[in-house]
Amino acid sequence: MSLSPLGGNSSRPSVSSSSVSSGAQTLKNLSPEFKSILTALNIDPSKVSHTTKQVGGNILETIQKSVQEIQVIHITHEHAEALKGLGLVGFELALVINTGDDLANIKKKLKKVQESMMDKTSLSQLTEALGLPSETEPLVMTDNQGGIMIIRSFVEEVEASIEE
Amino acid sequence: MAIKSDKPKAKIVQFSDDAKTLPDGSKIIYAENDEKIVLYHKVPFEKGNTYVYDRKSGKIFINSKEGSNHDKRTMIRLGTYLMDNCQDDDLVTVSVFTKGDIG
Repeated sequence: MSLSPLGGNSSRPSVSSSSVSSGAQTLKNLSPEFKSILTALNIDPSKVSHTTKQVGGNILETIQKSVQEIQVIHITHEHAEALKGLGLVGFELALVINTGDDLANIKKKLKKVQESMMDKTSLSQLTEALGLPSETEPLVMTDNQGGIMIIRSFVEEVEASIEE
Repeated sequence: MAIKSDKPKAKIVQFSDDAKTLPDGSKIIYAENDEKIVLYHKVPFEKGNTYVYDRKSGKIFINSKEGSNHDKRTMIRLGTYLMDNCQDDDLVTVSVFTKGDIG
């Protein structure tokens, strides 16, 4: 089974932060599996113009949009006490999101920001935009990156539907 | 080539290397858009199964037939199995754009 969108050629992109794009002409050779998945998503395979491949994720535009809604605050004593009641201790900074989006959309945006944190350049721009010093780079403390994180999110979503 | 919309029509997560399989020899492709989550599971020498979860209705379909909570758990088990047996570097995320997205 070819897992490549283009049947046969499955070379791994050699970059981690930028995408590799496939033009319209080569998409005539979409693999059967790829076509069946697109059909399941109600996407006509013949209308696919191009695809981009990313190892991990570098969604800089998402960051740029998100930082407009995100504000960094320093945790005060009062904040710390409130957080302690939630079982959260040891935080110095928090991100406040100013948005009218519902929780599902907020989670999606945060997921994309988290994906982008894999890339050092994006992370640097994100921390700079948030006014954080560059030495805070170790703030990435999760291993839930890229594709794994997307799949983990799906597992949680489907699990929630069972509980309902 | 100018892209009108920066949002892909779908995202597909799969092994970046075609030769790579899960420990049981099977392969899984995961795909999602705003409406659906699709998980394609192929066991060697068997016909592939396509699990489609409708995000709005919460219903699941296996090979186009409506399934049950049991099938949702199977879908979750497959997703968990994939996560447990690969590193992020093993995967590639493919963003799919359609002709309407291109200016």
